Amino acid sequence: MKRLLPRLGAIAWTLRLAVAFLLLVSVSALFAPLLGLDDPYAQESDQRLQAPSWRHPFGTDDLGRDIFSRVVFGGRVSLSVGLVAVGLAFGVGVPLGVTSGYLGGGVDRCLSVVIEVLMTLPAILLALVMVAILGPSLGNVMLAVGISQIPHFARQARASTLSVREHDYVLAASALGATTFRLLRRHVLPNVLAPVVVVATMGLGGAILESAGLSFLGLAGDPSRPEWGSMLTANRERFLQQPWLVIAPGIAITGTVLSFNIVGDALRDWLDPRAM
Amino acid sequence: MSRLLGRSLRALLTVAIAFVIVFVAIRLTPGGPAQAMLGQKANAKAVQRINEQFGWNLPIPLQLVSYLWGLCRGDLGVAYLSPGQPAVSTELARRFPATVELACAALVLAGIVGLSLGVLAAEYPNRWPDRLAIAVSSVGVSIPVFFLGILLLMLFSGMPGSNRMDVRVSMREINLTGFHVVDTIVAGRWDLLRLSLLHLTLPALTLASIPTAIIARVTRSSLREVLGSNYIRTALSKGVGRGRILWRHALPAAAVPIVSLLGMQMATLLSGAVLTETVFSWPGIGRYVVLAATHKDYNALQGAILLLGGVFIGVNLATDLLCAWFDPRIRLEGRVGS
Repeated sequence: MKRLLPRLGAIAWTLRLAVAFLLLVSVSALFAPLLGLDDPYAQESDQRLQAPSWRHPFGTDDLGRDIFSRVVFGGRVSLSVGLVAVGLAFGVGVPLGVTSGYLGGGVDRCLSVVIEVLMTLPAILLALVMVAILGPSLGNVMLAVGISQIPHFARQARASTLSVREHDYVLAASALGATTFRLLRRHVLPNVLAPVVVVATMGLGGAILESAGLSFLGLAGDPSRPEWGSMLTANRERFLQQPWLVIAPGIAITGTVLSFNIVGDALRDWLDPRAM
Repeated sequence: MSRLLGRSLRALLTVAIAFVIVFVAIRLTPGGPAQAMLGQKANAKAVQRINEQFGWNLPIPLQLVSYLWGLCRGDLGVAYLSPGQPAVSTELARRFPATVELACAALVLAGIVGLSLGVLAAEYPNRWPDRLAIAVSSVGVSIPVFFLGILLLMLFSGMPGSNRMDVRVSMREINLTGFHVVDTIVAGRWDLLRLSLLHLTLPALTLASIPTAIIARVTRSSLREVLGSNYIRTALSKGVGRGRILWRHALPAAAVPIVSLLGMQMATLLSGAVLTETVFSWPGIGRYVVLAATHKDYNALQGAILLLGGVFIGVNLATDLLCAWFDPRIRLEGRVGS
């Protein structure tokens, strides 16, 4: 255990800060209803556009809603969108990549075309098409972001599978008569997962960034829902008079995405010291 | 030559499949596209009329053939919901120069800043230029472009960066190519050139954030690897100066990954300026796609998707070919799936 985990003293301060920030965001998002904050939907007409104060740490918006509470509750939306999207991309992309890499030949070529087609449309365009067809909703945003991330997972899983399948233990298992499914599940998949975890960590940051962009464009439906991207859209006209309205959710997105990227980088260096 | 042809055919096939999926999906909209366009309360007659006007009552394969036939003649249908129902192809042609101009400006900015940061970081490892490059590249890929855009507008609120429409109006008499910077230079209108450059600055800075970060990061790691190699040490021990080593020996060797990256970024910039164009009300294709999608203007949407997908794949293909031309070691075939 001592050799596996890096010593705390050796961890860069940026990484510690990133982990601390992610803990703060996820714990506050998880327990948001128990923190005794203002109702993020409650409109107080006598508290409109208040500057930051003890009562409202990040001020209030034009409907008198508490920005601090909306940022904390917004974390619930952003984190769950990220988790669902990355879960979808992981669940579809990894089996696709492993199968493609292990079987090779015609299957590999067909799946590669599927992945190339997915990459032709960036996430935002894909989401725009989906919204035009199905209407704006948070579910469609999750789906669009998830689909657009499938190629990352599939390509990483495929590349790792290509190197894993050359190992002797795979050959040995195959010689003992293991079926292809058993080979993939017991021998290939576990050894492919480590680099995929790095992709997933980075993917969480990317998914949060993309979904915030989509709700900034108004594609996530219900604008009264506390969500970081749509808070920026709703208040962008007021950035000169009431800058806290855009700075608070903006910092929340940037900090979360930056933290996921820093943790992902550290994980990659830790799993593969050669890449440093 | 046959490889080149194969690559191009494959790229074409990818765009074609993606487009057909979008085309069919639009026509499978619950209740039909006409219903979605007119809303739930639309009466049956109006729906019927729209269906007949657009041929949406025909079988989908037939619609596809007729659309492709139109495409061959440069006809993408009319943008139904725009005032005056202009042809989609005209609308796209009118907006595309603005997107290209913005993307080029952003790429030039990102190239200059990203390359300099990357070179400085590789020259002074673990000192402040290196730390600065790491900080810029980490924040650059993490900050949402729309937040950065708003922050820049906040900082430079006195600058005319938010709208390009006023330039567009005064440009009517010298509209040659649609590229404001080119047009004003050709016409010799330096006052308008200054104005168009001013309008270009903030959107270009915003759009450049992600490519700058990525270019700085790749330049740094690629150059560091080259600087650590034996032939650089040999050159150093023979007394060649630092500057000459960097410009004559190291940078050319590190150039291929950077060139391929620049091309990929260009493709992303051209197709992905949706958020930046929205923040700055830039009258380009990105803004047009958002409007078409939210207003359910399906003809406009599929035309824009076809253009953007085609541009994305086309620029990527051109980059790959360019890299192969620069570096014969790159096998054309090996790079297709990687």
